Amino acid sequence: VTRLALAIAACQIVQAPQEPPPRFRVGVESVSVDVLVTDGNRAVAGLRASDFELRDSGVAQTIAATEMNDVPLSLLVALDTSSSVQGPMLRRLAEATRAAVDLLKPVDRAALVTFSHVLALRAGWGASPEALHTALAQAEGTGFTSLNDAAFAALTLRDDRPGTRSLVLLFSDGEDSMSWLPEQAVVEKARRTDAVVYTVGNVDHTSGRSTRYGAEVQLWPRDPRQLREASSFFRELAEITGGHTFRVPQEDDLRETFARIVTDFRSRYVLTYTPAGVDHAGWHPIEVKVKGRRGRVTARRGYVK
Amino acid sequence: MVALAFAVHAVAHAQPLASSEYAAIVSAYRDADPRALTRISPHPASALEPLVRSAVEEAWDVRDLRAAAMLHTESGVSRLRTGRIDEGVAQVNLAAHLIDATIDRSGRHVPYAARWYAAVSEIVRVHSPAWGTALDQRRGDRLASRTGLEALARGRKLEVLAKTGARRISDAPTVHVNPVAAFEEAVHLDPDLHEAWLHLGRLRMNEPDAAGGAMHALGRAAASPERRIRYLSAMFLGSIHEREGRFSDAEHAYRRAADTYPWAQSARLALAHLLSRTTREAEAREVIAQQIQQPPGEVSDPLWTYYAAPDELLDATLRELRIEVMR
Repeated sequence: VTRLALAIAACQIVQAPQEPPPRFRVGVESVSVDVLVTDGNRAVAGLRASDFELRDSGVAQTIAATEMNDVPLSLLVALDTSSSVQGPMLRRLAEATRAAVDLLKPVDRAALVTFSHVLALRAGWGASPEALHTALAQAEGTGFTSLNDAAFAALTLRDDRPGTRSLVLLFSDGEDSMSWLPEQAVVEKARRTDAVVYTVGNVDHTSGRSTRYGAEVQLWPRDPRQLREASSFFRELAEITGGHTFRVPQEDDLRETFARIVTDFRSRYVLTYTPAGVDHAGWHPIEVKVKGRRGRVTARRGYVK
Repeated sequence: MVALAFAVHAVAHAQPLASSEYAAIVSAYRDADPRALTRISPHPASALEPLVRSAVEEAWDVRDLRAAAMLHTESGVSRLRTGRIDEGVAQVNLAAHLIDATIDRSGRHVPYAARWYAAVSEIVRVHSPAWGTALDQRRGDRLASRTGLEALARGRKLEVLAKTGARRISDAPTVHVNPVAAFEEAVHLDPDLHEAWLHLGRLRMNEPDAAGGAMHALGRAAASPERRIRYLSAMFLGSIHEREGRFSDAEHAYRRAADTYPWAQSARLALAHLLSRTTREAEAREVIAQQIQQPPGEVSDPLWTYYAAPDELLDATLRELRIEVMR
């Protein structure tokens, strides 16, 4: 697990879950899973390790649990700034990003990546909120959309500071039109990281298909690019990582959505365990349940060892 | 270099340029000196025309002719975009004369000339439709006699049509047949037509059990004097190696592409992805981090214009053309 840099990894909670702030011990091959429990639209708080049942590859594991609210959060915002978002949409994105960043605590960190056909780091880890807002204010909506490349870059650049949990907020209003990487490469990457991805797209996006001339260049013949709506890709990315996908009307205020993503993430639990009885390499499916009460569990589907 | 585009300032009453001064300005442009455009901008096309003709008659080095052509192209495009149509067209006309001279000097420069005509005629058409069409006609006259190029152009056109058809009938396995035949004809007629080898190699990548054919074609393309072609052939070769599990060869190809075209995005994405899937996560992160910290204006990628339809990304094409003539 550690060798694969799954982040899932290399840290173990050594304190009781209810005694913030938690401490992490580096060097133990452990797996950490971010879990959201909801009852209707409401996040369920106050759960303990004994309230959860976690199976790794079908084998029950002994877990520790801590509330995400007690763990430093690293938020990477990746925004589509292609020509389709120029004008009011770009302003709404800036406002929404500010709403999300304003919810961060001093121990949290944020970074900002924008993408058209060009990927750009507007503010790196450690940048102040003001620097981030200023950087976004300078962005302009222009160019094509390298959505796959941007998603891969965001997952690669997630904060690797020990003891933090990584949240990637990915916004795009359209399909990929200029990436080198196929969607499959991003999905595989998502399986190998512990970042939780929340995706936001437009519900009334109607182009349906990329217009690019080279969209069927098929540089990956064994797994040809299948043009599909971005919403499908977004949904898969969110489900694999245990996040959520939002589709909002194009004219909607995005502040509430972006803020909710941070709030939702904070409402999670971090379940940590040292895998027992599952030594095999490859994909490890994870199943998480809440015992003895109602609740919908959202968690990543598994990890690659 | 982007700053060059914004460096045009008209200055009245400029003294006539001497031939040596003109040569120095072109040389400065090749060195990416932003003052080159500023120095040329006060001089009207009518005053520069004798200098351009002299450059052609004196048989300047072809690379200098291309640099001069791009200098006048940038000067012309900036004028077109600020409404000075006549002077802009006149500057582009000077550039066309210089581009024609590169074709006359060496057939190796035909692909560059073709790309220049395609990009610039679209830009001019927006501002001066009749002259844009005239430039297209001129391109036809200059390039039509080269039968290999005709086949190449036919292949590209067939590819576009086939892709359009493929979207309607979802019949991907058959759509490349005709373009492949056209590109095969092109390289048969002109074995040094590297761009045709590039397209042929890429299309053969999609044929079952045809990796060998694709690698042969892309290997031929890799000998191109054009950086753009060498970059793309390295990327496509890397892709073949990667999917065949030859990760070391793939890494070598992607790194070669990255060396060929500084700050081209796709080479570093491909390299980072390869490193990541071979569990070299820290290196992948470093590659991505370096790439996306580049100022967006500095990033140029031949893949973008390869992907784009002929009338898209004109500015990106111009930037590529400019970069190609810089030292």
